[in-house]
Amino acid sequence: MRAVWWREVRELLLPGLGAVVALAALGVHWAIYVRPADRVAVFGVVGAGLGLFQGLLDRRRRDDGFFLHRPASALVLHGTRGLAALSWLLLGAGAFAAGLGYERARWAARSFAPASGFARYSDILVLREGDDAGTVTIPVGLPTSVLALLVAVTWAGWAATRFGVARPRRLLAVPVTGVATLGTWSFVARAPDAVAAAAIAGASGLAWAVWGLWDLAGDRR
Amino acid sequence: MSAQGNVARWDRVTVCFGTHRALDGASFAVPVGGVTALLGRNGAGKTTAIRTLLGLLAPTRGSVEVLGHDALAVPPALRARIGYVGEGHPLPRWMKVKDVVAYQASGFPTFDRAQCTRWLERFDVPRTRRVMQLSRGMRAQLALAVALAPRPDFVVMDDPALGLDTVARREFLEVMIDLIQEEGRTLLLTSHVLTDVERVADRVVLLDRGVVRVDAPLDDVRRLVRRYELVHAGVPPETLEPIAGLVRARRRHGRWTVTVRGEEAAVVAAVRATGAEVAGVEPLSLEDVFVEYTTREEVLS
Repeated sequence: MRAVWWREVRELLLPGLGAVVALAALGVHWAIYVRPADRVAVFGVVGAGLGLFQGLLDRRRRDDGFFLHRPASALVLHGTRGLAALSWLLLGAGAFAAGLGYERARWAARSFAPASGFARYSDILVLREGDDAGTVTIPVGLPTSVLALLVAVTWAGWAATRFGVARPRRLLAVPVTGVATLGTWSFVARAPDAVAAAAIAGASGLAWAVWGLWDLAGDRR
Repeated sequence: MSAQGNVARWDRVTVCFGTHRALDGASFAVPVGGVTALLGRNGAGKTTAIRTLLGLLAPTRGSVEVLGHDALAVPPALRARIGYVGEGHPLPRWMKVKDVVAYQASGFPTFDRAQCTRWLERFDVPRTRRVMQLSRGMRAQLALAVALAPRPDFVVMDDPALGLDTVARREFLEVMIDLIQEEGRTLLLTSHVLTDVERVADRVVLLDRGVVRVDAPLDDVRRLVRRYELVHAGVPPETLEPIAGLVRARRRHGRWTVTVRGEEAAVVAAVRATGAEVAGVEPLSLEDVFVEYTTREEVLS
């Protein structure tokens, strides 16, 4: 399936590069002021955008026989496409983390900057926000576990949109998926601790993944 | 293959797109071996029928079987035995020719690279050029080469000659004839070039607005469908009495001309029963038959 993965990565070249550049820029601009839930929710939006783009590719279905008529199950074909979108998102997450790290390192170098300028700061490492008028905490980079969580939930958002737009009621699926993605993140943001946040995100991701797998049951392409 | 010796079978298949019925209760089959041509005007339902066959589209009602399996649940191993050339030869435009070959070879276990290379050399398709840089003819030959290289038992071609010039089309036909000559292979194709169909097909299915109008061996169609010129004693009537097998009836210059499907003697007898005489009988080409069946105006049956 490497060939299918590579083909899909290449098909997503323009939106994928756009996502990477946009996420890197957001990493820089949202490093300090923006709440972590909002910061992470952008991954859901970007993932949903990639899913929507793939769905739109599917609407050119008359041209897609070369790809879809292949001796592999529909689940494997579309799952591999999902991995391709996920690969772009991973690249985007790396770019986002790099932008975040760069901006925070820049502020750390200016430790003389007035702390009162940052009434709200965020710590993406524990998915928490705090208000500390006197101190600026500057985490650098993202630990693997948080990155994995972020990617898993983002993928769930992608999967929901991707499979949603492939279904007969495409126009309904897109707003429903958008609301579900953002709604999940609002719950995650209000979770009392990181474990609860991870549980909510995990349950939500699992539910969406089951929906996607159910949608692809059988061999309908 | 199914017990009835059919490679593919549509059973009362209806496909709706909103309120439009692309296929309307269509039932027909593709027998093992030989070439079946699926004919019809634009929008008649040919591509829809093929998409249901390949499992790319689910019928709204009815069922489609291919190689003895429901078309929506064809195991990968069986799918590898079906070759497909899509309408307009859609291939990823950014891929190089050699990448297209590698892509197909990676998915089809029986892909014959040597054969594919021979075909590409025969068609002068440069392996290092991108698909977007190929002429339509070259793209068609590439699509054909990668579809046939896995040596499929059943080949489906959706308007493979679309956009090709006469020479490229002729080359395409030669390959198709080679393909047919290989034992046990079955070909289903759609085409608007009926002279090509006459050269290669031995069975035709004619769709008109989603409905099967003809499903018969090509020789039967050419032999049985004829145009008869009628003469009436006195003034010709405004309307004709029903004639069994009537395809189309026209009144021109005061005379009725009817196209009827049936044995000539039986048709002549049926015409006499209506009070008319047959003044002339004209055999029809496949193109004539196609026009008679699909022309909207004056179709009485």
